[in-house]
This record gives sequence, C-alpha cells and structure tokens, in this order.
Amino acid sequence: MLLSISGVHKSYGSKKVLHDVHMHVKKGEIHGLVGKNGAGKSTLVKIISGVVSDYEGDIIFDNVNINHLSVFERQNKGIYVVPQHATVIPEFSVAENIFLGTWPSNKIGKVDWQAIHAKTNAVMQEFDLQFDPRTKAKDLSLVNQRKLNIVRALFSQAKLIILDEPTTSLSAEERSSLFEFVIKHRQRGTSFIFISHYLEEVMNLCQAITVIRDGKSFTGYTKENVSVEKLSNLIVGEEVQLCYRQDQDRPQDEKFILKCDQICGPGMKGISLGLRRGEILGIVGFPGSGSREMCRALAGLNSIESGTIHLNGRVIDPPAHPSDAIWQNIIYVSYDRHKEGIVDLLTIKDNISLSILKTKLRKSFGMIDQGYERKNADRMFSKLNIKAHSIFESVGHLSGGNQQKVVISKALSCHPEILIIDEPTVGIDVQSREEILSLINELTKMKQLSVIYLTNDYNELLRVSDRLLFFSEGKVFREVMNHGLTTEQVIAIRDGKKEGVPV
Amino acid sequence: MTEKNLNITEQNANAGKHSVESTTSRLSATDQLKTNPVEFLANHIVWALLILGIIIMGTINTAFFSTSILQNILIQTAVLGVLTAGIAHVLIVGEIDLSVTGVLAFSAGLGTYLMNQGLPWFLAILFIIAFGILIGFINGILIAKLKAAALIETLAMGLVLQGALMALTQGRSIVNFPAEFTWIGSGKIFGIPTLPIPFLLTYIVIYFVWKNTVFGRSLFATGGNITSAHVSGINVDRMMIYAFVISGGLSAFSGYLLAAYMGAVTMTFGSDLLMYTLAAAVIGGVSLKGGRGNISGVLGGVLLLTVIQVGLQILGISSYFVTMVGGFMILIAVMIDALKTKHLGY
Ligand SMILES: Nc1ncnc2c1ncn2[C@@H]1O[C@H](COP(=O)(O)OP(=O)(O)OP(=O)(O)O)[C@@H](O)[C@H]1O
Ligand SMILES: [Mg+2]
Repeated sequence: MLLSISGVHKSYGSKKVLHDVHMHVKKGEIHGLVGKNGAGKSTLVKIISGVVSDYEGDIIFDNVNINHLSVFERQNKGIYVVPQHATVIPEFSVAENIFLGTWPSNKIGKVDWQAIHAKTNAVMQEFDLQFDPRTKAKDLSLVNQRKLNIVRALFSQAKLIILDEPTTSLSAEERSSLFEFVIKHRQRGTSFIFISHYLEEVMNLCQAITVIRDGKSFTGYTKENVSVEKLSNLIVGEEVQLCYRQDQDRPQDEKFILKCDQICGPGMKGISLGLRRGEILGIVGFPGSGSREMCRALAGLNSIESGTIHLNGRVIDPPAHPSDAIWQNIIYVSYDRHKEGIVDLLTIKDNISLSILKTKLRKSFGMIDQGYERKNADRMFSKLNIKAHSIFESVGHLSGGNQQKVVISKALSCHPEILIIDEPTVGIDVQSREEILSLINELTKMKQLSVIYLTNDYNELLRVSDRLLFFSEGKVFREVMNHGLTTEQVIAIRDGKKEGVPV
Repeated sequence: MTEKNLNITEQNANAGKHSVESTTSRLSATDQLKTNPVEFLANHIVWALLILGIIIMGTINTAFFSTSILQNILIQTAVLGVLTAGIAHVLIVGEIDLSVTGVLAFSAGLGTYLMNQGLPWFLAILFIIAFGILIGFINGILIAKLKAAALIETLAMGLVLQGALMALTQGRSIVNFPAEFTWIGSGKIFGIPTLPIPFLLTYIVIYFVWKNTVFGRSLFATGGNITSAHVSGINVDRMMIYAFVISGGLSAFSGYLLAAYMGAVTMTFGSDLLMYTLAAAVIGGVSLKGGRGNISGVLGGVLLLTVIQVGLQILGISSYFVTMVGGFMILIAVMIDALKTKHLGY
C-alpha cells in the first residue's frame, strides 16, 4: 500500500467537512475520488499534501506516518498535487516551469540555460511531448498546461500525483490524450488520485474508486462491482434524472430575438447568426475559431469593428462595456469563474446581487433595496441548491462547484432575455449539472429566455441544444439542427469530414 | 414579467429535490467567534490593541485619564480620522494614494492665502474642498484611464503640492484667520468641542454608504476582483475615479479642520500625517490588497494611533523618536495585514 488514510476528521469552525474518512491507494494504481460539490474532495487533497495541517487521523505514506511533515517535506517524499486551477507560471517558458525552484546553476549561481534546455528536451522526449522548451507556458493549450504540471511532478520523482479535476473544460480528444499520458505513467509505477465529476471517465480510468458523501468515505468500488448509475446514486444519495430536451419544448416558428450580420473584430471575420426566441443554440469550435470571441463581443468584453446587431427587430449599438449588454438584457457567464465570475471576499448574497445593483436593487438616493436583495438571494440559494451555511458566507470559502452556482445565480438574477453561457458546468457535480440544465430548459420553454451555449462537453450540448453552429477561422461554417445528432457526428462535422455527416 | 416565470420554474426545478437547510441570518459576532475564531480575532484586533494601549498609558501615567487629555485625543483624532476615511476608499479599490497629505496642506494653504487676500471665509472653505476634489479627480483620471501606477503618480502629485505650499508661503506661516473660519477648530457647543462633530458625522455617513448603497457595494466589488466586477457590469474605472475624488475631498476637508484648529498654515503643515493615516487604515483592517475593510475598524485604527501619539507626548518621549515609532506602527500594521491574508487563505 502506497498511501493509507485512516480515520481522518476535519472541521472548519463548527462546520464538519470530513468525518471518519478511510482510503487506500496501491502502488501503480489510479484511484478515483468522487463526490458532490462541497463533499470535501479538495479538502482531503489538502490534508494529504499537508496544506491543511490541523486534522485528526493518520496518513501513512510508504509505510511511514507523515502527519507531522510539512508540505515541502511531503513533496520530497513524493506526494505531488496538480490543483483544481492550473498552476503553471504563464510568463515562464516550459523549461523554466519544469525546473521551477531547482534550476541548475554553476558555481557563482548563474543559471545554466544550456543545461536546462538540453535536459528539458530529454524530459520531453521521455514523456512524449512535442513542444519547444522555450515556449511560454501561457501559449500552451489547456491540456498541455495540465500535462506540463504532471511532467513537473514526475520530474521531481513523485510517487503519488493527485489530479484535482484535471479534465474540466477539455475537449474529448484532449481528455483522451491526457488519459493516455496518465496510463503510461501508471504503468511505470506512479500512482494517481484522480478527481472528476465525469463518472464515465472515472470508471474507465480508475482501478479503484472512493466516494465521499456527507463527510464519510465509501471505498472499495471498482469497474467490476459498480455501474455509472450506481455510482451517481452513491454520490448523490438518490436517483439522478438526466435532463433531455423534449421535442415539444423546442421553439417552432419563433421570431429571431437576436440577429448578427457580418460581425467583424478581433478573431471574427464576418460572423452572421440568428437566435430564436426560446432557443438553445449550441456553439462548437476550437479555441481561436471565433466562437468564444463572438460570445464575449456580444457581452461587451471584446470589441466589434463592423457589422450590425438586431435585438428584437431593432438595430442596437454593439455593447462597449458589459453594463451595456446587461442593460439590453444580454448576460454572459464566463468560463473562468475565478477571474471573471466571483468576488471571493464578498458574501454569496453580495455576489448574486452584483449585476442587478444598478437596476432591480436600486432605490432612491442609490440605496440598495435590502428586502428584495435578501429575497432574491434566498430564492437563488435554494433553487440552485448552493451548499453553504447561509447566504452570508464568503464565496471564497465555498467549494469550486458551489462558486460556479453563485455565478449562475448572479446571471439568472438579471432575468436575462439572452443568456450566453460559456462552459457553465465546469466543476459542477452530476446532480447540480442536471439541475442547471433543466433550469435552463424550463426557462427557455416559457420563451422568456434564449440561450447561446458554448461548451466542449458535446454530450451535454446535444442533450439540450436545438441547433448547432460550427465555427472555424472566425466564421460560422455549418449550421445543423439537432435531430438526434451523436457526439461522433459533431466531431466529424467540426473536423470538416464528409462521411457520416447529416446534411 | 420574467418574475412570474421564474416562480413557475422554481417549482419544477425544486421538484424531487430534498429541501435545503438554510440558516439565513447574518452571523452575529458571537457566532463568528465560534465558527472562525482566527478570522474574528483578525477582524477585531484593533480594538484589543486600543484597550491594551489605553491600559498601558493609564498605568504608566494616571494623568492619561483626565478629561482634558481624553478631549485632546478626540480633537486630535478628528483630523487624522477624516483623512483616513478618505484614503480608505482608495485602499478598498486596491490602489494607494500618497498625495493625501500634499492635498491636505496645499488646499488649506491656498484657501487661507486667498482668504487673507479678501476671499470671504465661507467661500474659502468651499474652495479648499473643491480644490481637493479636483486633485483627486486628476489622480483618478491618470490612474484609472491612463493606467498610471498609483504609487508613483500620487507620490509625485504629493511632492508637487507640498512643494507648491513651500513656494506659496516662502517659509512664512499663513495666519490671522477670521473667527468664523476657526470656530470649527476651537469652538464649543454645550461645552463639547466642535471639532469631533464633523469627524463623527463623516464616519456615520460612510458607515451607511458602505453598508447600504449601490456605490458602497460596487466599491468593495471593484477592490475584491476588478475583472469580475467589470464583467458583472460595474463601471470599475468610474469607481476608481470616485475613490480618488473622495480621498482628495476628505483630505482637503481635514486640511481645513487642521487649519481651523491650529489657526495657521505652516510650511510643514500636516506632513507627518501620511504614515499615521496609512497605519491607521491598515491596523483598522483595510487590506492593502483591496476589497476588505469596515469603517468601525478604521475608527478603531485612528483612535489607536492617536492614543499612541498623545501617549508618547505625555510620557515625555522626545519628538526625535516619534518618526521611528510611526515607522514601527506601519511595520506592525503591514505584518498584521500579511498574516491575516495568509491565515484566512485569500
Ligand atoms: N477555508 C475554508 N473555510 C471554511 N470552509 C471551507 C474552507 N475551505 C473549504 N470549506 C468548506 O469545506 C467544504 C468542502 O470543500 P471542498 O473544496 O473540499 O469540496 P470539494 O469536494 O472539492 O467540492 P468541488 O467538487 O465543488 O470542488 C465546503 O463546504 C466548503 O465550503
Ligand atoms: Mg474541489
């Protein structure tokens, strides 16, 4: 046994997070760790890595009790964490990132760049990576950044690598390339703890699975003795209904609420599209294809140089600022909740209110309508099932998935006519994902809300969207109605293949 | 119209979901003490230090508790208090304003100079405040719109103004103010000195603004995460400019209070206040990283700093040591801020 966790308890103040957790990881095993948002997975990771040191219970690593060891000492023993949000240093090159802190230097302390680049090349070959050691980390794709993190771990002789939600916002291909990478290293004897809300991938990748629910651990599951359905029931504690959009919910001959004509701007070379009232419009495209640029331009976050936008039949000025878009009832939910979503020092209530401060919440003399604010926050809190003490808790203290729910609550509080959601279910657990999808489905059914939906999770996209737009090189190149499309077909169209593609 | 619609869907979305236990009452101080003692202590450390300071001063010299000295503390707090309330706005949006004492000195200097040249006293007061607002506005535009680095820009602005006061006074003091002008600094209402009144009013107004207004909330959101605030539709540039305008306006107002209290504007007028005002804000819980602070903490901070200042005078510590003590105060304040950030995990 490489790692044995027994009887671990952890509370934050009066809030019990972990309650008698047991888990055993063998050498050369990929161990899945699953649980709802706020179940305590990241907390457990922090306990294993030593970031959180005031816990009860025992952690045995390599037959030694490591309770008293610091983060640094544990790293030296071979425990390495790739945290929930990437930790490469964007302005540093690949080589600098790999050798971070251990830069080889000569006698007078001058860093030996030649040695570094040579070594990096060797490391790259060993790990089958094809990028130049001189590239800046920020220019790597998301999946390569994650791989870079893992390489860094392997390079520092890690025996156990903990991957906290490494697959969020990766496309299907990127995921499988990451998995191949992980499997290869498992075969060389490295162990992994793999955290994810995508149960299929957990089932496929992991030799053993531990579920955390209500702070307790349920361990000893394997591919053989548990199914995806069973696993999701174990996680949630009840049956999970997958949300599928029904044909009668789809808009029939509704009018276009939004029409864009020949939109040009950074990354956009003449994009035209229409969005019907009550429609869920799925957007497919690689990074740089203009899809995200388009979404952000409509939200006032990217500039529009030419083209016209019709909203409800009227021509509107391109939004120059997010507040212009919000004024027009167009709300954007960013893919990056840490940077563009939450204000972690503010409470849940204050975060939910941010976008309606100047409209629904404003009373005379610029006072906040506290009654409405409270009511709205309470309603969102229970509707989205946010897990926290109360609406007065700081958002910084919430688990990742619950932070995402706060961001979505903020958007829905505006009662938008057009909701642009960019990877809205990043880091959200099975149940909450279905809750959010069905909420969006319901709202569009009433024809009050129209949605532009951008995600790499084609499975999710196909379950709810009515129509798909494919982006490439700053333009829309295909439009397909979603009548029983499959993910394979979506990938084929996106990659411009002719076979197996519906017309 | 969408309101109704949301209610309908609420039932749908909630169907088949277990109810959430939501204890939606604001955490009281005692609850906070129980759930997160570290955070509680960090947020209220200024009051503990204040009580400690008073006890120490009192035991060393019992004269400390005399009414005249306590009154003196309140009077001295007034100027520092108004000044700190202003700079706190800039710190909360995550910037810094080193021009506050320059603004304080030059706007008071120029106002009183013009008054001695024949400007009526009430226009002089208005002029002083308007001038501070103007400087704050310039700072704000340069920093928010032209993206100048606040540290350097305000340092330079402060130097310019300090220098301008020297040029204006040519080393002489500006004196001979009309009684109406100095009344606020030395007058009494029902036997209570008037000077603390505008100070306390300022704090009461700010308390409400921070807590209950759209402006206050936007200020904290901007400082907490400027990109999130921007994406949420808050005009962050404008918030930044407002913060500098308030800082400039209140600095100038505190300049007027100080001029009225001293009855003169000297060449080094208010120049020692910069370190105290920064220390007071930070000890009072305003984070230098922005987004965090409350006005009662700032009040505690300015009281603490004044108690120390007055205490040092009573204890007869030579004024040659005062600067060093002030420096230590800032060091301690910054360390408290850093430890808080580290332990609270943001
Ligand atoms: N510093 C903190 N102070 C108070 N509570 C905290 C703190 N950090 C985490 N928590 C709480 O601990 C619980 C577990 O959080 P954790 O981040 O471990 O969840 P998770 O399983 O990783 O969830 P997710 O899938 O959403 O990432 C949550 O309820 C969270 O609010
Ligand atoms: Mg987590």
